[in-house]
Order: sequence, then C-alpha cells, then structure tokens
Amino acid sequence: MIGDLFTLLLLDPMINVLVVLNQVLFESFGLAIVAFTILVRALTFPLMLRQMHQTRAMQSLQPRVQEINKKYSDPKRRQEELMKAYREAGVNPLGCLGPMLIQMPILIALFYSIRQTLAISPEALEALSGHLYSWSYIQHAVPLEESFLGLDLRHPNIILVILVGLTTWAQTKTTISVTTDERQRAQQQMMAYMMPMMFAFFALSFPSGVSLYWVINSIVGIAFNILIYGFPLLKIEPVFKPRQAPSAALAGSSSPDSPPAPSEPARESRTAHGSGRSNRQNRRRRP
Amino acid sequence: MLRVKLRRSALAGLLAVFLAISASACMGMPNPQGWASPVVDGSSVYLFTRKDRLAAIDFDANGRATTRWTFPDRDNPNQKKIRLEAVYATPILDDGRLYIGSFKGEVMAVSTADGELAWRNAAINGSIVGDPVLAGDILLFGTTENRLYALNKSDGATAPGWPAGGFDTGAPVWAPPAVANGVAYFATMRGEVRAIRLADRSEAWSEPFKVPGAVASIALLDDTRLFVAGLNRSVNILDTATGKAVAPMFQASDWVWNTPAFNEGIAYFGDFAGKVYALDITTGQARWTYSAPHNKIRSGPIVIGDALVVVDRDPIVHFLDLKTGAALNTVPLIDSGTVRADPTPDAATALIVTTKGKLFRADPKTRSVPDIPLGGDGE
Repeated sequence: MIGDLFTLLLLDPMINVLVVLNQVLFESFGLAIVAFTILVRALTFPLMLRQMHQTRAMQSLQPRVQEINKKYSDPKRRQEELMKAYREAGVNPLGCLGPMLIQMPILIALFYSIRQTLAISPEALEALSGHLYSWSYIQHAVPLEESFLGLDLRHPNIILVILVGLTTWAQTKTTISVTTDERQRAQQQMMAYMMPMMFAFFALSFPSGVSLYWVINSIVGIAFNILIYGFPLLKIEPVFKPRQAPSAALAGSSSPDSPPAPSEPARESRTAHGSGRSNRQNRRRRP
Repeated sequence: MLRVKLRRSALAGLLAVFLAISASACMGMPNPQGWASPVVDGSSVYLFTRKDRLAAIDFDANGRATTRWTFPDRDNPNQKKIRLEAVYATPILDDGRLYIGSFKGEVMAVSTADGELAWRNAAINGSIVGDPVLAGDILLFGTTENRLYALNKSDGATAPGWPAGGFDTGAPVWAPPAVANGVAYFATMRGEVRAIRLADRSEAWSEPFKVPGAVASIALLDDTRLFVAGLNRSVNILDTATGKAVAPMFQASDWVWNTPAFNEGIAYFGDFAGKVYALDITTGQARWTYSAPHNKIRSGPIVIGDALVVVDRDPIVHFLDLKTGAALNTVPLIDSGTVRADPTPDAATALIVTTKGKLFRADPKTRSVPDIPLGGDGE
C-alpha cells in the first residue's frame, strides 16, 4: 500500500519528468540527471530552510537545555522544564525532523527514479515500462542514451567514485552540528570521514548515473549550506539570516549561562561550560 | 504531555512510513536474471536452472530426471574462470554443440555430450540479449554496444570478411537477428530495421525501415514477411525484399517484446498490457484479442494443434482456442517465480521454465501444466 502510493505519487512522476528532460536536453541522460537533481533540490529548498532554522533555534537553546539537565534529576520534572523552555523559545524539539521526513521520500524517489530509468538490465527496462505514461513522446524515448561526457552511465566509474567521496565530505564539512556534547561531537567528526568513505564504497557498485546524481546532489547541498550558514574560511556571510525567535532572549535571560545569539555556532556556546568537559564534569564544578 | 506523546507517535509513524518506502523501493530494482528458453534434444533438455548455470538433464522412460552435467563446472579447470552472469539468448543446438551468448558479452560453444568447452570468445563488445542465429557456418548475434557479430561456429573466430570488432549498427541491437536467403535482418533500439547481405554486408534495402521508438523484437514469419514490433506499441509486417510495410501498422495496447507464433497467415503475440492478439498479416487487423488482466506478457506464445499456449508474468498459463481466442483453461504456476522465457515446443506439448529454474510441461490435450521434477543438481 505505502509502496504503491510512493510509486504513484513520487516515483512515476519523477521517472516521466526525467524522460521528458532527457528529450528536451538533447537526448542526454547525463544532462537530464544534472537538471533534475538541481530542480528537485530547488523545489525542496523551503523545507530544507525550515529545517535549518529549527536546527539553529535548537542550537541557541543548548546552554539552557544543559542547565535544565543539570538542575533537575527527576526525569519527569526535567522533561516538563525542557518542554517549557522549548515552548517559551518557540522551538519544537522535533521540528527539524518534520521537514527532513518530508524531504527524504522525495530524495529517495529521485535516487530510484534515476536508477530505474537507467535500465541497466533487460528486466529493468521491462520494469520501466510499468512506470511510463502512455504519452508517445515518452514512450518513444526509451531506452535512453547511456553515455555522458565519455562515461557509460550504466557502469561504475572511478572518477565519479572519488567525486562522490569528496563532495560528501565537503557537504559534511559545511554542515553545522547542533550538539554540544563532546562525545557526540567526536562521533560526528568520525562520521564526517566515515560517511564519504562509505558512500564512495557504495559508488563502486553503483551505475555512474546514480553516482552523478549523488555528486550533483552533494554540490547543491554544499551551495545551500553556504547560503544558510555562510563560509567563514572564504569570509562568505549567510544569505538567509536566521529568524530571530522573540522568546530566545527570554530563554537566555533565565539562564545563568547566557546562550549565544541564535546565529552563533554551537561550538562557541559550548565554551560557556568549559571546553572539552562532559556534563558530569560540569556538574562536579558547580557549587 | 498528551500532545507530546501524540507528536512522538506521529513522528514514529512517519519514520515507519519512510522505512517502508525505502524498503519497497530497494526491492524494486531488478538485476540481470536472464530469460533463455530450454533447448530440447530427444530425451535431453538443456536449461538454465540458475541464471548463470546451464544443466543437461536426461529423462528416462518413466520421466525420471538425471543431471548429466552442468556448465560452467567449478570443478573443471577449463571452466573455473567462466562467469555467465545471466543469459537471455536461447542457446542454439547444432552438431552436438550448444552455442551460448551471455549478458556478460561472451560467446561459447559447449559439447552436449559432456559439457566440455569447445571454444570461448570473450572479445565481444557489449551484452548479448537477443538470440543468436545460425546462417550456415556463421553464428550471428547483436549486442547492446551497437554491434552485429559474425563468428565461425567451428572455432569462434570472426567470420571471413567481417570486421573483428563487429559490424557497426549505429545503435544497440537487442532483438534477435533473422536470416533468410543470404540476407541478415536486424533491428536497433533506435527504431531502425535494416537488411544486409551476408556476403559483403551491403544494404539489401534502399533505405532502413524506421519506427519512432525502440525495436526489441523482429521475426521472420516466412521467407517473404518480417514481423517488427516496437516498444512504441506498433507492429509492422514488412516485405523482406524491399523493407516496405505490406499491411497497415497495428497498434497494440502496450509494449510488444516477444517472438510471435505464426500459423496460416496469422501472427500471435502478446503485449505488456496482458493482451494477446491474433493479427491477420494481410489486412493488419486483429482477428481476435484476448486479455490476461493486469499481467504483462513477455514470453512468446506457441501454437500446438488447435490451441495457443501463452504464459503471462503472474505466471499463469493460458490455453486459448486458436480460431476464436476463447480461453480453454488457465493454470497458475504456484510458487514458481515468474516466466519471461519463451516456451519450447516438445512433441505436442510446450516446456516452460520459470525464473526459479522450475520446469513445467503445458499439455493442450489435457489443458494441464504439471511440473517436471528435475532432481539432483538440476533441482
């Protein structure tokens, strides 16, 4: 049932748009992948932006959250206080998950539409027939041209494998993490290297068309990250300034450790508690 | 608190939906499985019991099966490095040898007596999807990398006068080529049907026949008429001498990708909408249409006596009246995977192989489809 809905509402339209783009863009499936990935990412940008705003708001509340965690040992009370703090700051603790959960099926559909449209085997071409609309413009287009810039989009390609790793790493590096916990930060640091390696490993067995999608997707992701977070190394300011939550100041004033401005990165907020110190260590330091 | 709980439940639900979508999407990606048909030689049957393993199975007088050999045999040093990947082209049986073309892009000849490799040509550019065809001593086949190859059937070397890298067809060739009167007919996935003389590869027609869309199946109905079916749902009957259509184009309901059966001026074929057509090749009109609802038909129909045997992808075997298209019986093949391979005629019956490597015998006389236990290694 869910699979059918996914196919009907997302996968089928995407496959057909992809085929139409292929025809419009000089019968180049590579160009169609590039254009389609950018198009889908642009359309889902408002969701991503909303997710980022939520993430930033969460960052601004981190010192207050830590404070509450230290202050209240009773889990029920702690929970109540946390919810109160979130409510006052106008932040939904799970708010960043909502846009993400909406985006994920779209991105998964994008991934599978590309893989399906590539039709790497006769069975895959046979399966593709069930996804195509009966418009002759689309029916006449398959199978699509598989070569792009000298690459055979059906088979893995080492250059794209390397690019998958590099762009995934770059995207991770341009993403700001929410956590102030050192252990979690260390884990995230590890993941920043593990993820690119893992995806590059996957790309070794992916058709190049899918790797091309991944590379373009990551590049667009990097561009969005820079638009939202800026890029201090190159002195690029964020284009999309964070919304100032009216209650953020309120949240800050009620905490002995004043939280940073919402745009302030989590790293700086963590120093208020003593860099490199765990929650337990911070608790010990308290009188 | 209640609102928080509700919100959490909603998010958990969304997460479950997301995981379900991922799982369903993952499952929908088919890898090469192959759809070669069985080959019958007296009391022996050669079939792919797995996508990459050919088995020679002998049947005794009681119908008991014994596997004589399998190919490639991992214990045989000559065959250790052979990987078939998947086989779509039905092997050709000739002079005690089976000629096999694999999706991996290799062609080989195997002795039917002992399964020994006679020769192997791995220098093929592209994958082989359509059945090879024998034209005298030449083995002819097309590839997905825009090539038509002609190899000596004796040693697998390039046939005299043919380019070693294959004849450039300009587009992928998935349909099996056809040969008659020294002319090879082939179709491309860019919608061109061409005829070239085997002797010098010169064009036999003044211009190619063009279809807007891919052509994945062509077949000679007789020496003068060529059946051309496209993924754009069109079916054309061409004059083999001129390459011109001899009847109005017929429009099917969906893709046509199977080999037709031909009997007394009528071509029988199925489409991906689950329809079976009896096409009068003179008028270009359907004499009758039968519908196997919601099931694609990839496997070609077969005429046995007064019945047409069709297998859909469910898989269900349909016994149809040849004259009217009325269903005489339908038999589902339970727990058998699916059927994409064409049935193979064997006396007054048809052998059907499924993607799970199971073998069935469709008998129009009894309108039944008993399974054939393969036993031993063939199971």
